[in-house]
Amino acid sequence: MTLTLRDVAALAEVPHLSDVSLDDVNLLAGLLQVEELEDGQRIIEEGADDDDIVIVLEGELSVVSTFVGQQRELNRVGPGEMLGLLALVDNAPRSASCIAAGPVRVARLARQAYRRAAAASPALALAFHRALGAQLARDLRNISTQLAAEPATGEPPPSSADADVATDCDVAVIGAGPLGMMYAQWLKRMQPAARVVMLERREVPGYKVGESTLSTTVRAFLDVGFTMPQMRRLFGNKTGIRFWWAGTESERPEREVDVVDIEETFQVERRVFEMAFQRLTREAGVDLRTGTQVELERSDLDGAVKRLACEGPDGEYMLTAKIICDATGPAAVLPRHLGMYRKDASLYDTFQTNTYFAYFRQKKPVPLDRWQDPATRHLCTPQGWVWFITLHSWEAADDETMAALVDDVMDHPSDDDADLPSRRELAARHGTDFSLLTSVGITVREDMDTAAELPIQQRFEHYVQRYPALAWILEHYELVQQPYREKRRPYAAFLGLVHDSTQIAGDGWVSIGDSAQFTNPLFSLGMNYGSGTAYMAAASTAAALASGDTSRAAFAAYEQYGRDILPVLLHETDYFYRSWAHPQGFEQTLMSKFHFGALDVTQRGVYTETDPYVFDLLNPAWLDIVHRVRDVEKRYEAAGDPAGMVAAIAEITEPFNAECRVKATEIDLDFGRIFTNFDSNAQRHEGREKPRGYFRGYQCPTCNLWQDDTLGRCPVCATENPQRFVPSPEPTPEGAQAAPVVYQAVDVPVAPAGGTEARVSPRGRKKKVPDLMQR
Amino acid sequence: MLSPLVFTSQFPNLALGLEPAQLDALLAALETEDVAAGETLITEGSPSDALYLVWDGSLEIEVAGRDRAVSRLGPGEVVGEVSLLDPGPATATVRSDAGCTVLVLRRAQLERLWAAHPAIATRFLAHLNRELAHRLRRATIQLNRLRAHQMAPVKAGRS
Repeated sequence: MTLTLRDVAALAEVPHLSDVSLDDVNLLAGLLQVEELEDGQRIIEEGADDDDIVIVLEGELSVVSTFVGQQRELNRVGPGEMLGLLALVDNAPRSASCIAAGPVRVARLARQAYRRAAAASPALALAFHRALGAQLARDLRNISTQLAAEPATGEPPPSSADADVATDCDVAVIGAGPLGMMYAQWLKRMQPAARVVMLERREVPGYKVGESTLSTTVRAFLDVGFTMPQMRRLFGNKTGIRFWWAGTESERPEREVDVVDIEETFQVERRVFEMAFQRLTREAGVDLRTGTQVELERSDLDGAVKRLACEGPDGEYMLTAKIICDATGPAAVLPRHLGMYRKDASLYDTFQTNTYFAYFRQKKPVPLDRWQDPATRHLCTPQGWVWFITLHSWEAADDETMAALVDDVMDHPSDDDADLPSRRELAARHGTDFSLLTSVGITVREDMDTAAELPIQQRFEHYVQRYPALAWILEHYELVQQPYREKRRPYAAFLGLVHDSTQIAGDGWVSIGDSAQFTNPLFSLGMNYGSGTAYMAAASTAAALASGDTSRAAFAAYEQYGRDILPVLLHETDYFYRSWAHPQGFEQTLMSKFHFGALDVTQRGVYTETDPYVFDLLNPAWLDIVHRVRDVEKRYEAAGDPAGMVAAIAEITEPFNAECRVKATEIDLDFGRIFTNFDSNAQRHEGREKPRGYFRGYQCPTCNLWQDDTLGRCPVCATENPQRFVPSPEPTPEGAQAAPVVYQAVDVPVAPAGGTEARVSPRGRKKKVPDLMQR
Repeated sequence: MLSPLVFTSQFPNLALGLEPAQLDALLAALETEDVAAGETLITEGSPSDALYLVWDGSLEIEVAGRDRAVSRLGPGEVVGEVSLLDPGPATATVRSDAGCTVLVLRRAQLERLWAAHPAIATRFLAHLNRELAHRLRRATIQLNRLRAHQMAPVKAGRS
């Protein structure tokens, strides 16, 4: 939609914009995207991480904010006013939602477009800053007036906590997401006497982008109390990861590469997962307080003892803690509060990425070999990649129903599937059902994002049109207009995913997982890496509590790990992304990674559930490959020569792969069992008969869903498994019969300082270092 | 004339990234003012058109109806940006209990600065905008909290 004369008149109402020259008005008009909203439609979503500026042209929007479960109107805005300015200035998630009150016409300005305009015209940049300042000042004046009008008695007393709520603890964890809960549980195990309080803003876990798990993550879930039969009831099975490549000329996805059948893993819907996890966390002795807001502005973080201003169902109180753990995810509440948060990928000599995603329902099967298998599917392109994750979604169940169903499942902490009712039976018992929902996310390099200046709602479509193979796949799906039953717009975005913090620990505090730092995404490494940070931070915390020294020095091992792992994660994703300039590059980097990774993954027995090393990412031999390949890729990318890149990569990866294959024969690793299209010598061999992997799914003839083929009955519909596989007492890979995990009260892993030899696994056992790593 | 070096150490966000000549232009637009103990710089409800940068000592911010100071500003902090950018009555009273030294940027000087040196003005505004954004977020949280507090049923232990 283009600007009308009336729109231009409305723009002239924006303070200071009317001052700019005609050239600048034209420049700006070319960057604005006009949209029309219906009554009740949301244009900005509280908590979202997007950062467009919205200028109201016609009509009125209501600005609302949710607090302790209650939605309040903060403000009304009309023509000539701008919205969404805060995110532009400070990068933080949206602090309020904006909802159309009646029909509304708005103009959107993407942040990227704004930056370009500002660079092209200093006068326009100044006008914008003035307009922005005036609007911010007006908003602040408005809020201050409302604040002043509130009766002074509304100022809460310093403490009004319920008599029975503890206001003193050893460790306070902010945020009850998966990693915060892992940290809290592991800490309780290492220091059973520690009083651990978790503070969670939401009353009930809510909608979040789902998680696709890898073996390490599932092992961590098992470690904190989940059982396989429980996960099979609640989540969808996943058999591994598959990749295809597509260029702008590809009609269909090409050159499939996969790694499957290693271990049973799951696609996890976050609301359901967190409901179950919260229960396990409470059972582990953690004092979890939901619906509780922490206000750092009123907290005292400077002293040796921290005092957190909390407000929730237990009243309002100051919570005293020796150590604070920030597990607030990308909101990174504490690092931002301390001014340590950074969003700058160039610090690590890499690029940023943006992600545009939506939910789809499948209309008909995609006629592409193995597409319908429940693996996480990746379509890699020269600009980035697209994920396809099929969730077994319980979105139809309201919170109360879901909580009851989850409780029912968690009442059966058994490792035997026969002890649990089938999923269908549970669903019927609670009057609800699940359905298949496919999350599709397009992640692109920011430096190659050809949609950056379009409105968020059009960026996804831009890439669908750009890649015919993607468009072809999506012909078999339909877009979900309002996922999760909310008045949510169909497409959402995460912009500039890479962030870090100048410190991830300090005197009396640590920050873990996505709060500490985040990498450019690819095949679900985040939770693996995140569980590593949770474990390392818990170990440091336990040691700090034991010694009484809670200063920053107590978290040195954790900080070292964080400092080491982020550049490695960033450079490894860089190594992959850049190789996708060419389909052969795509195959080379994946196969090299899998050669190396498989040596490790298939020996999972020697891993702990809490392995913080993420497929041995810190291994110097692997780092050497990553960095050499990356250098080559950068060179050929600059020269615009993908074919030259392929030849140069081969020189580096082929000898390495050959070395890995020698190593594989020493540990009886059969590549043929984990690759569909590659034989035991890891040579491409399409259409071959693949032997059974270490794990395998079968497709249930009744419900068509995939399950572990060693099960007698389908955990979803209870139909007998007609092709049950009974494992022979075949020798499992070396080291698989590892001793059960024994945690010691204080067990600080030694962070690798350049060499792997000094590494001690969290279990306290020396980690086996394959010969390959001694080069 | 203020020392550019000392100014930079006191207000790094305002000064860093400016060329020496730009910094000089900015410093020339600022006036140094000594505020006596008990003196009021801005009165709530009255018009205000200057930005105050605390150089030494402290300023107290008061709002009618609240019996104690809402906040206290120390060296390196600024006040007055709301009325500077959105002319209108001041939203709080700004006074100094114990006396202090401030740098003053009047609206007329700022207008002159952004006509003559748009790059300095843009940088300066970007900093003020960040401050404003920060205060707006805080005020929003505070308002939400007050309202939620009034609406929510009062639990045991509350007066």
